[in-house]
Amino acid sequence: MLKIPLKILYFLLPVLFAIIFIVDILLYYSQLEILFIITFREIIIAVALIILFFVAGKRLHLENLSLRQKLIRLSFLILSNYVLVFILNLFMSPEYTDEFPQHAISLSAVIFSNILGIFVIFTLIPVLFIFRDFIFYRQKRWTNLLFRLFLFFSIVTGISVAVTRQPLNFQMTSQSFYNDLFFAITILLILLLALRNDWLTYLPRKEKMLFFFLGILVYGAILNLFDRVYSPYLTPYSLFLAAFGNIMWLFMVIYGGFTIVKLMFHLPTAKAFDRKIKEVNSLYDLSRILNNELDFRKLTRLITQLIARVLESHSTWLELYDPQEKKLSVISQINLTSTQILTNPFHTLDGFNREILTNKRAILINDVAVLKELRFLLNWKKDARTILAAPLFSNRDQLMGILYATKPHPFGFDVEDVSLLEGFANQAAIALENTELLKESIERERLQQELKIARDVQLKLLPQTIPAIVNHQIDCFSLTASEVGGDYYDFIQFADDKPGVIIGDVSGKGTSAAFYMAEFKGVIQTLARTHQDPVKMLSQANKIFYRNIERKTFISSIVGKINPESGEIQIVRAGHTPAIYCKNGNAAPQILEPAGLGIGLDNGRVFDKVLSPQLIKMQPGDMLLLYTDGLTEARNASGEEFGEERVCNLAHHCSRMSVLEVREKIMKEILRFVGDTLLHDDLTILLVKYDGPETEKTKTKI
Amino acid sequence: MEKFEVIYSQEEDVAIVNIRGFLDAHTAPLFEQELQKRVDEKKFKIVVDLEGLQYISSAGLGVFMGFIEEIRGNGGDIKICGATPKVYRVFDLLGFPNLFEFAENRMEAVVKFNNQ
Repeated sequence: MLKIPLKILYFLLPVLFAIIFIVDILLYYSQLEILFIITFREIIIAVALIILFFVAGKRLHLENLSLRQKLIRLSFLILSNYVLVFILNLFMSPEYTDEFPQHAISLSAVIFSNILGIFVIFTLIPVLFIFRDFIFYRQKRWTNLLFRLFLFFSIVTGISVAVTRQPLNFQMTSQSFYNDLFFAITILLILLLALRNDWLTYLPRKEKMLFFFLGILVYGAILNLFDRVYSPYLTPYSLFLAAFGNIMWLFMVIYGGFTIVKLMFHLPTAKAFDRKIKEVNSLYDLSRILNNELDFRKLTRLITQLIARVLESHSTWLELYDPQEKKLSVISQINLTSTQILTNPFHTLDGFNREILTNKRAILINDVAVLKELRFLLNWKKDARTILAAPLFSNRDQLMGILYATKPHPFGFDVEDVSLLEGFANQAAIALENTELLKESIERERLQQELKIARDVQLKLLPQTIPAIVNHQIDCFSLTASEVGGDYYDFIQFADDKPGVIIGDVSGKGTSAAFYMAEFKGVIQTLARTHQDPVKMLSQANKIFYRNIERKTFISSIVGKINPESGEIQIVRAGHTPAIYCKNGNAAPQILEPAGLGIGLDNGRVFDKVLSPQLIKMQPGDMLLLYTDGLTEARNASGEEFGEERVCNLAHHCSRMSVLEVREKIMKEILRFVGDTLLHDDLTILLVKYDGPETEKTKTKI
Repeated sequence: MEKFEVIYSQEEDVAIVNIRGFLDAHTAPLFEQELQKRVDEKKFKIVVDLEGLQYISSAGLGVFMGFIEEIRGNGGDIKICGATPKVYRVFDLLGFPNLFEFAENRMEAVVKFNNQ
């Protein structure tokens, strides 16, 4: 494209028209008819037209205008032609020859045609652009090509008319051949373009009616344009322009005609069409809005609001079904009084509701007053003459609730409303279920995270190595359950440097148990260093924990203070499972159960009174087994517990085995017993064997 | 979830709460709710009858501890009766008999209240 700045074009246009005008005046007075000048004029006018076309293309910003505004401008542009002709006729009486092509006979005719010619150029170009907008509203593959071809052939036809000096009336002579040919092609293109009026399909009904009736008026003006304006006055000015005007007029007639007829056919169904559009938009809005609302309560309110808006119901409410109580209750409502909510007749599954539930479809009562069995409803709610209700079913086909909408006059809802409410109810059910599922999912996620943290804490609490204790063998193992428990074992050192072993079990499960265990470890490790007496140590621990843990939580624990040289062990049992003492030889193991209260149950008054130590003097080969209740309470597939007896039996005959061997034996046995069943509680065992004086073992890593 | 139920009855001014089945972390809230109701009704003399109780976990034991302070603070008490040897052992190991009075059956437990 030539990059000529607009300013030059603005300047150029008036100059061109001025030149034409001067030439016309000169021609009139000189009565000359020089072909060169005539051709020159036509070319100038064609150029002016094309220049204006490009200027308008750049300067006219039609996108910002609404449809209504475009039609108003169109009407204005067309009517202004009439106005101009009328005004000019008041002051002048132009005279022209009769035959085609007409010439101006009087000076006023020259002036008249000049003015009108310029005016027509300046009105037809914007009209062309407005129609272009209509055509391009829904642009398809060929639209652009067709339009450009139309413009091209319009110009070509114009040139042809200017050259042959024959009118466009399909004379079918050899002289008019090119005129007829190009004109025919142009008309064909017009017909194809005239079908592009999709812009009117989705107009609201009111606009369709307005445009139809106004359109007829404007169309009348368009029809007369040719005879009243173009034909008499344009031809003398310029044949090219006249041809162009003719083509544009035909275009307006054909396009306008198609549009008005199409509008006419749309009118009867416009109302229903509008409704359908509204419904579709609402359903779309609904699913978008519903899926964005994740709060259950807000969602129920949103559902009633949206329904009331679309159905334009007077009262709307959502009842949710409680499968445990087998009743429905109002969860959100519009226009129900509190008395009405309290005396709600729709809270059971029978009567009106039964029909909804059996068929799983919505039902519509057009007039409650007419039905004998439903007339009582008017006593409950006077303004519920029409009642529409639809059920909400979950994905698994379970009743979630029922949506109700009422209107105060009979036949307030129609068939369309029924299907609409059903569609809504389905969407609402999905959205409600999603919020529930989401909540559950978040909860599960949270629990999993908690469990993971608790397990991590647990693992960090347990000792990483087993210390070497002179003359003794120590071994232990701990199995964590599927649900985190509160088992704990540790190796401590008392103030007199004597070693000790401790096993603990916090009541409850989960993260809190793990954290209490961490606290317990800290407290015990600290207290051991400042105490020689395990009884006093646990007494202190109890006082600390009684104040610091929940009422419902307690810790059971058993401590063994070891004298490595002598093999004596002092056992203190704070509510824990008893210790099992197996003597070397064939004697059955002994259950050691000194008196003691769990830690954290009492402020110390009873705890201190009850806690009694037990001293055992181990002989070489003797073994002490400490464990948590996870061992005795471990269940197999038939629900049978492992039990104290089995543990004792396993501990029997252990004198000839090392702690490692005993540990492995017990482990194997418990795993065999439990089988595939998941452990429901942590399981810990700790073994201490006295080898007798003067034996040493190196540290073993667990 | 294992089977668990709570049966409440009144013996003069003593509330009898009979727990039966499996008392664990899942079913403990039910037991808790019952005791809470009694406390709300200002019935501070409570006998927990363990007849029919097959299993109790630390969560179940914790429920007792959760209410005992308030109940004793109001001049009442929780007395326990009807435990099978297996269930009694669980209480015994923890030292509960040092904190709560145990009786053979509910009659005996009620009598203990009257003798106080």
